[in-house]
Amino acid sequence: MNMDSELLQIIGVTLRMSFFSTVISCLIGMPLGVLIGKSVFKGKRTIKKLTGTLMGLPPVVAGLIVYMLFTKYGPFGSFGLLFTVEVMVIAQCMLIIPVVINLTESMTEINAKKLIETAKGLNFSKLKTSLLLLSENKQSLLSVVLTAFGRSIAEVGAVSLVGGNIQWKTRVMTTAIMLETNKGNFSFALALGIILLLISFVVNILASALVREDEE
Amino acid sequence: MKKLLAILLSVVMLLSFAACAKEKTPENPVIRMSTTTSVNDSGLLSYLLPYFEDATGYTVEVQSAGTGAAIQKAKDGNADLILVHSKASEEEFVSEGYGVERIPFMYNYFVVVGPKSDPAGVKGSESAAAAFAKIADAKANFVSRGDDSGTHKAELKIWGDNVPDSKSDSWYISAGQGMGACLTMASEKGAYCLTDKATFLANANSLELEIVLSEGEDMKNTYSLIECNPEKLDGVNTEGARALIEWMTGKECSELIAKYGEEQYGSALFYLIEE
Amino acid sequence: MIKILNLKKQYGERTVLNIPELTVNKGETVVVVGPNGSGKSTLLRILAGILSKTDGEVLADGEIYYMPQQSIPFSKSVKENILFSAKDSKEIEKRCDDILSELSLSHLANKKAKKLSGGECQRLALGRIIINQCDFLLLDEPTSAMDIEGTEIIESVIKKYKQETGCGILMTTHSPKQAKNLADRVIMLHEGQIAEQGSPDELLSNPQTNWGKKFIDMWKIDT
Repeated sequence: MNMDSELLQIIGVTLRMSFFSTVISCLIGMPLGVLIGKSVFKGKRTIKKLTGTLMGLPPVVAGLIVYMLFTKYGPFGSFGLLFTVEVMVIAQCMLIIPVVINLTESMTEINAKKLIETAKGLNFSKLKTSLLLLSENKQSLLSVVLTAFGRSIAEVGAVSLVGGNIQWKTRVMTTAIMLETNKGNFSFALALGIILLLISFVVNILASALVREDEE
Repeated sequence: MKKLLAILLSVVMLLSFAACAKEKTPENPVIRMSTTTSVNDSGLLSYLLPYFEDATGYTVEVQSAGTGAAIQKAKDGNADLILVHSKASEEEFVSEGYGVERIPFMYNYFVVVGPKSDPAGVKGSESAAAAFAKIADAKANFVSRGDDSGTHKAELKIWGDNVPDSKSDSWYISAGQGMGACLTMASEKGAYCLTDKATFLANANSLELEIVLSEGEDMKNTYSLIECNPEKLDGVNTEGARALIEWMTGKECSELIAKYGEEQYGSALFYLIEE
Repeated sequence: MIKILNLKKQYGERTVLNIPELTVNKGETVVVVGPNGSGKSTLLRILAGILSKTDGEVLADGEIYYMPQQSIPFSKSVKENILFSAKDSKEIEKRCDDILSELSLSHLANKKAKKLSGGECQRLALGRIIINQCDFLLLDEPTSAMDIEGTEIIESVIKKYKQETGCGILMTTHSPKQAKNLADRVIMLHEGQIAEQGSPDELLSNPQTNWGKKFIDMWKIDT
């Protein structure tokens, strides 16, 4: 058994899944968060409470919901997506999008109002204003992205249910750790855990370096 | 006021009588049993153990995990006895000094389950090995436990020299999960799977699978009890472990085991090993 | 011109602004004065489109630029702030350099705008606006953070810009001297309504209402 190549493959799947989960969640969640944050409307407090509650959705419940949606006779069964990386990303997005919305929205309320007023006073287009908001809040936005990534890479309940931990296909670091633990290989499982932390650490450092570079 | 006192007194007396009626609770009343998920999922233990607990005053804490983890937990000193079905691992457990003696006490059969359409034509095969060969030829989907469990080891033994490669044989799905989860996956994917009969029957209602091959000699699955060795491990409840093992290999338990499953599934799920 | 008709702003029962009619013509500088809370900023914010009005009509036949009381500098250099805010890129480098020199910011051109002092920030904020061709300027206390020298610079830049572009200006101030220096017309707001109107001389030397008189007296003492 070539452990190294299998481990690399597992890391690859993990990174691929986390990348897409993070990117998609941010692409959907951030604009929504900004929109909610800067607008004043009647149901605002209710929406904030809703996203706050959804942030606490147990991963295994999200997994269960997605499983029931994509199971053979479920509403989306015909897509045949169960036990694939794609459906794992879907389940993770369900968990992470509320987090992104909530964090972005708080950030917007604090930082964005004055900036938006200045931009309006200078007659910037909506697009220019949005891009300005993004570039002016790089650090905060980055922390939201990294939070999303952290949630994704550490998640095990949902991806286990909908992905099935299939060797060479849907096995990620976390489900591999669960398997090794169940096999009784506690020290190996721990080693995998340390590798997972290292990967997370490296990603955090790279991302922070990227943002700081721009600010210099 | 007097009436109230009288009632209180009677209640107190009744309670003390009831307490006396129970057996004197043993010194260390908790017995920790480490077992596998297949055993737990079959429901046998939750059926049997209350009889033991009522009769003796012991409380049995059952921890289930994959075979490897169940054994490791015992090695870490977290169990008083183990109940597993993996001969090689059991013998190693004893030879390494962690277990006192391997006591096989019951067995059941693995069965091959598969989709009703039986695409590989497994039905009627003369042995599990033959069935597996047909599955490989037809490249029909097959879900494997892939977790070094007793069931997985039995599966590998049946494949013999022809174990498929989960990397290149896309039809061979190494799931790395428990028996229940693997069966669910097999049902979803219309795949074959090797499973113990008990877990399958317990979940059959929610599965789109049926038994395509059963009870071959090469599908026998033996369960053993092993008492953890107090000389090697600290804190073992030896008295409790011995009491439980004695009861589980005794007449009353044998009768209970033989009856288990008859009402619900029409046949016994476990068989006793004739001494 | 900017024409306001029956402009009202209410928060529930409370009316903070009630202006039946107000006009700002191109080439005209209208200065709004009044105590704190009289509605000066509210008026400008509504005209800038940042605050919603409860009732009334605002008509404008040109582009309105607005400088809030506190402008946020962008995380770029001073020069980049101005370049970024320009809509038209024709001869932009030259225009930018000219503006920097007029506003006495040339020596700070490459400094990070976030590190500017309050007064420098306000000069930058004006620079970001006047790099464009504005039909109307709304300036909310444009020299609030400045010393005398800075104030003089801003006032001369405003005058020059108006002369060159013929724009209309509506601004607020707390300084009678500034009102006198820049205004073609002065409007005094009191509790959201126009209390007095007139040329700077008329208003400052001969307020019509009692309240107006009181305010002018106090105003002059404070400055």
